[in-house]
Amino acid sequence: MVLDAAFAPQANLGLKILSFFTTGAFFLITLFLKLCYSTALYATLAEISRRIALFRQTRRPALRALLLLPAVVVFCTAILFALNLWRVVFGSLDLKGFTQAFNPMDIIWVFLRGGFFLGAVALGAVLGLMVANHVTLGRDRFGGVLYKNRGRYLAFWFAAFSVCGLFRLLPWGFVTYWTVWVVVLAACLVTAAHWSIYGKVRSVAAATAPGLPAGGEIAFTLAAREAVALSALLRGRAPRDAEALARSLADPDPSWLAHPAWTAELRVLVQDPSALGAALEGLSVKGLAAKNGKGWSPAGPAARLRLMGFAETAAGLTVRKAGAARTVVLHLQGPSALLLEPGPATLGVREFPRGADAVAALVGAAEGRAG
Amino acid sequence: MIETRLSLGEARYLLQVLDLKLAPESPLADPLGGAAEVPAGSTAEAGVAKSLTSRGLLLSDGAPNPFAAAAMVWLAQPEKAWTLSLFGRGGAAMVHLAFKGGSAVECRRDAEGFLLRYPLPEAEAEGWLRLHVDGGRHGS
Repeated sequence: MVLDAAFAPQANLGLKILSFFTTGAFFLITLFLKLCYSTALYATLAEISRRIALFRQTRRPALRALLLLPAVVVFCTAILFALNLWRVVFGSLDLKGFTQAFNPMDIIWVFLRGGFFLGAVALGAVLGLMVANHVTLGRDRFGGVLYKNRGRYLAFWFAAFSVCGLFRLLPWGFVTYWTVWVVVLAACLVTAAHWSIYGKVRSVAAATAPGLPAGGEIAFTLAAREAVALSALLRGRAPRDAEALARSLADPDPSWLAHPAWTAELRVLVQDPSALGAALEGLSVKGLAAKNGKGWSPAGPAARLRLMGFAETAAGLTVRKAGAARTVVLHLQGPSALLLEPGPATLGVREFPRGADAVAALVGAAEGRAG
Repeated sequence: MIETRLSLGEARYLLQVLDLKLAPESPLADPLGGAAEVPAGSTAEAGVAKSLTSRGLLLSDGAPNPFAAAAMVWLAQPEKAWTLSLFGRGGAAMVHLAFKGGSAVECRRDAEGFLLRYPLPEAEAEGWLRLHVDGGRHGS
């Protein structure tokens, strides 16, 4: 007893020192994890912002971004989940609760909480696949993959990350079971949706271009307004009336038939229905457009152009010589090649026979050589 | 083939040293046509000259390297110039070829300046174009 009393203060001091260093170590580890988490989150938000800006400019998804985003979201969610694992799975139950009163109701609650988390994972995956199912992919005019309904995709993207960001901004004490549950749900949703979209993008990108379908030879010259009107006709699948075509031309992303220098002509066709009507009639006379009860649609060689849809590669060659310039554009898709010669007032479109040397023809046309 | 990278300031300075005026056909006319000259005797001139000398593009007496000088003459006052714009799965690219006296110099513009490759015989220009178009076709 005397000995115990003599050593007690020293033992208490040792425990205090040990406790101090243990608490300090835990503090530093937690701080490090929080810093990692915050850094990753801010980096993600910056990357998202950059990707969205790029996406809005080009409408082309970057394949790596599709994998990067869910990877970072899963990483951040996993850390948040790990930091709160005990609280969200075992609730207010602490270690003493395990060692002292073994309450069967607590065990049931632990299983319920774990089960609900698995429900969040399953629900998130299903919702993610449903969202991805509603994202339609297509080709832009140069064969790149684009999201047709980008607005919906961006809205989903913003909403999911806003939820994640909101929960991170809230104080730790606010992170209850259900907030973590929603974060897990959102992470699974984002991951499943991106995983599905990634697969779609890869399959679309890997699809082999069929080239031009068989049919009448493409070799015609159009006036500027006719070329712009044809570009509108080639966009849609169903026949459309003149009003619908004018609305289509108002889209700032014209087809590859519309020369950038023809903006004024395009504006006239959008604003003046009679000018558009005259251009369509001109196309009809050349056998490139036909009108039925439902409206205008491409005909003859123009119908083949619409089936081609996009070009895998477009090579524009401008030759400047003696103060003059001449531009010729070659569109390649699979075994097919089209040569476009845009002039100040006309557009020449010519198809090459399969196997012909299209590059030599491109040089010849741009240099002004016969051939 | 010689490959030379030039910043906008370095290209402008070489034009000054060689006393070259830009022809309308020149691929440099657009980026450098309105650029101010590097002031003689300024610290900017000293920096540009030091950078060019360290890479052998200026000789110790301040005269341009003959190869670089020839490339700048072709670029600034070409008899003919090609501009190839490529769009495809690999993205978009633009590259120029300036011809003079049976030879050509390739010029690519990027954020830092120009990348020049020379000399290319004029007879091989079509092969050069074919390489670029076929390369773009395969997404490279």
